[in-house]
Amino acid sequence: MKIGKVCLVVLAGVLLASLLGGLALGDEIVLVAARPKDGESLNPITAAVSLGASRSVNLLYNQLVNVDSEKDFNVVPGLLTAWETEDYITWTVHVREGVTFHDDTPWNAEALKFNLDMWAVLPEATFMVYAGAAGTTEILDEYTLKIELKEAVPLLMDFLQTAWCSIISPTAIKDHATADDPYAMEWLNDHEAGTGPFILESWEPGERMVVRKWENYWGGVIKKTPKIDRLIYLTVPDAAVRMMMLEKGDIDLTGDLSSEMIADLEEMEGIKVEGYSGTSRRTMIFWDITAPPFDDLRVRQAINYAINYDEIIDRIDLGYAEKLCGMPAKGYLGASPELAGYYTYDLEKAKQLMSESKYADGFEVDLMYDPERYANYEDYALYIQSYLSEIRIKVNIKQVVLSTQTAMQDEGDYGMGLMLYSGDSVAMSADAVRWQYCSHLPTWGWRGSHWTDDTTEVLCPQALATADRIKRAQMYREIDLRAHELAVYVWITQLKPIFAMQDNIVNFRSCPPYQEWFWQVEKK
Amino acid sequence: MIFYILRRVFWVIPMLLGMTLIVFTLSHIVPGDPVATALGPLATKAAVERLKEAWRLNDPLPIQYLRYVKQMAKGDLGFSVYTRRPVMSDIRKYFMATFELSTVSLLIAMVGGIVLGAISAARKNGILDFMVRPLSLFGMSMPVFWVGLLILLLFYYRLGLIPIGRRIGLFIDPPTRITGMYIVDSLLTGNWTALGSAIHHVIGPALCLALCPLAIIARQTRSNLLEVLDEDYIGTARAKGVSEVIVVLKHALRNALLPIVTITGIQYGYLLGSSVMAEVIFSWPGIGRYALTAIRHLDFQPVLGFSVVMALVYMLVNLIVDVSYVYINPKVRFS
Repeated sequence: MKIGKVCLVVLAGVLLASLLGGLALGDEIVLVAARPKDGESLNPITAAVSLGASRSVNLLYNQLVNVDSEKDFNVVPGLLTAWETEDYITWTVHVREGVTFHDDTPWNAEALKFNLDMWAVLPEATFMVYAGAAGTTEILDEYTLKIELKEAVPLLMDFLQTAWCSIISPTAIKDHATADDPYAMEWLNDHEAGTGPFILESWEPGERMVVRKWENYWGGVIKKTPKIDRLIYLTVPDAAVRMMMLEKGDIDLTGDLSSEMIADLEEMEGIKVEGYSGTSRRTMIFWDITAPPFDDLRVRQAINYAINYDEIIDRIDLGYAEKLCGMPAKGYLGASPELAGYYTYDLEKAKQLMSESKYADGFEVDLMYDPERYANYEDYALYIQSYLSEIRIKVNIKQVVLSTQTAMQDEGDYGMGLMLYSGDSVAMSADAVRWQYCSHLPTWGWRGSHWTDDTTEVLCPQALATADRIKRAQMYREIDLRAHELAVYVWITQLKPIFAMQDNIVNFRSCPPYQEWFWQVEKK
Repeated sequence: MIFYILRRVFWVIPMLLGMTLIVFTLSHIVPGDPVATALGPLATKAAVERLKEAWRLNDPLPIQYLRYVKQMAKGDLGFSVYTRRPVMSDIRKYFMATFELSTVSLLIAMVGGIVLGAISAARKNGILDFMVRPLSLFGMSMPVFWVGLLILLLFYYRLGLIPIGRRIGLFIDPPTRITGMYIVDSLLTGNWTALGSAIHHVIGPALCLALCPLAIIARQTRSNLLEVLDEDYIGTARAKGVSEVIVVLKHALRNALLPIVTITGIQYGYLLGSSVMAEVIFSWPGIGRYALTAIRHLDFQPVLGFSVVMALVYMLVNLIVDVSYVYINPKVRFS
């Protein structure tokens, strides 16, 4: 009995110590946010292609240029202050002065040259997709570099603002390089060496990432340093648990919640819900238009008319969405907002088109989706199943993981796929268009239509090679209109990311492409 | 005895080979390209091919399998295309979190199950027995995700007794890594704040995982004990005036333990396998979630690594259980 009592006293003491330890916060302003999944790595070169990782990378690193998401998504200076080119082959770029990396290495032309040269030789570097044309670099002075590409890349600066083109300290890479790993790729998986607004304090993958304010931050696009001292980013996969934690006050902010949860949270005292416009999250239905029954234009059009978009937006997305107008989403270069009205809900027209098609008696088809891709997809699938039953299409709903879905879409003849497409950056409408509509690039199943069209095949590379934004936008519109005429997809919604937070949180923003901006957040 | 153990260890080899062959084959039947998945939609064919070549994923499947077996024999479980880290280093990181959770769950299940089962048997048809029997049935019938949600709702949301969403307090640094188990590492480093926090954080998921094995152990203990309590030597002990507590704990329980040890071994395997749900619900960064992520990204080598480690642990636990029979029941001999 005595041993039992001693054990109880020790246990109570230990628990008390843990509670007291938890109270030792000082005057720091700490923001606790929760997200459904963590990035697999902190290495911007290899991992930032995934949304989870790019969220982490954007806290720690900066890019050469940024986009002005407040205005027109045009490219604005980042770690570069200016650039000149006449032929889009030879570029002279000017490096921002007075910036240092988190390890105190100065940011200058030499550091830029190191990064560009590294991207050019690493097979993992996603930048290589664009800089297949990467050629030579030459330092002109401490803050000026000349880049000589092998071919003209008019959209070079648009591409350079993506998270995987984050700039890394050359000193850190050299210090941690090994014979087998000359660019310290393994070290960068768990460490950082950026110039971003926050410094990595600790990272337990799949559990939490703690970053603290970088006191010497140069200010970024908005020329300001963070207003919070520390950010704790928890990984909480279950949406219901994140909601509970928010209600209990254990976290300050979270997203990726289902509509039901959002509706409940909107009613709660002390919690506010905010939706953010201007992101490129698009929901669509994919199908292989070269395989039956979707090789029949009337079937594709009938489905486009059979879906009640307004009902989906009102009932499922609670108004935090709008009808998708096309591949460059509304607000982006080359978007055609008027195309949102190209297909509207018209059941009679849908029925008529079906009866005129080769499949007048209807057919049975699979609709696959990855439930983790979007919290409301289950409802989307059920609503679509119900709408299509009206035009004699029996939809079998199948849940798959995204990698399987994209593989099946890549193979073709897969039925229908419900996809959430978030694009990769705001300035890259070019990619949105060419991935979805053109066949000259592999997309590993992200271009599900298998559509080839002579006009589009010519326009896409032309658009990519056109530096003039107005002309380029016109080409995108032309391509998008052509895709609508042929009902290449069903363009359902453009989503507004919704975040729920304690009502003392102000100045939080979610910016394209679905990134959380923490550096102006305040806790009142 | 040593010969028996060696023979059992030897049999691990064909079992592992069979298991890896099945998992390897199944992994490659699933449509998809892990390298393209990892590189994302932007990847060029050349980039994908370059990496496939570098990671030797273009070789015929039998060659890839043989190479995997060869490197597995050297303790190398391959490379994760998704995390870009050696699988062994990933598993070392995540497995210990699961091991800690499963072990605490097993302790709760064993202690709780044996105590409840013993009380229920000793007070047969009493009030406690009537309470324990339906409760154990409830525990066995409830799926892990449902129990997890109930625990969250009651102990976290309503009563505020347990924290969730992490392995240690928000503002407490994890203990210096020695084993990777926060409780053990805190004890070894004398970090009492971290120890308290780690225990506090493991309670919720451990209870969730422990409920089913606890119920099974309780039922098994009860039925075994009732059988033993009917034996003649128990009647003799009672006739000699030995108190009921001594009769149950000293004379009856030890003899009733043998099947319970077997059940416990099986339950440990169950705990490791079913930890995925608890890890997702309680945001516990364990190997179950790691395997789930690997499956989602068609990352075959971590899936294989996970299967190998789990199989090894399961076989090891069963071996320990079998060997422990000798010590629990002197009549057992391995000949």
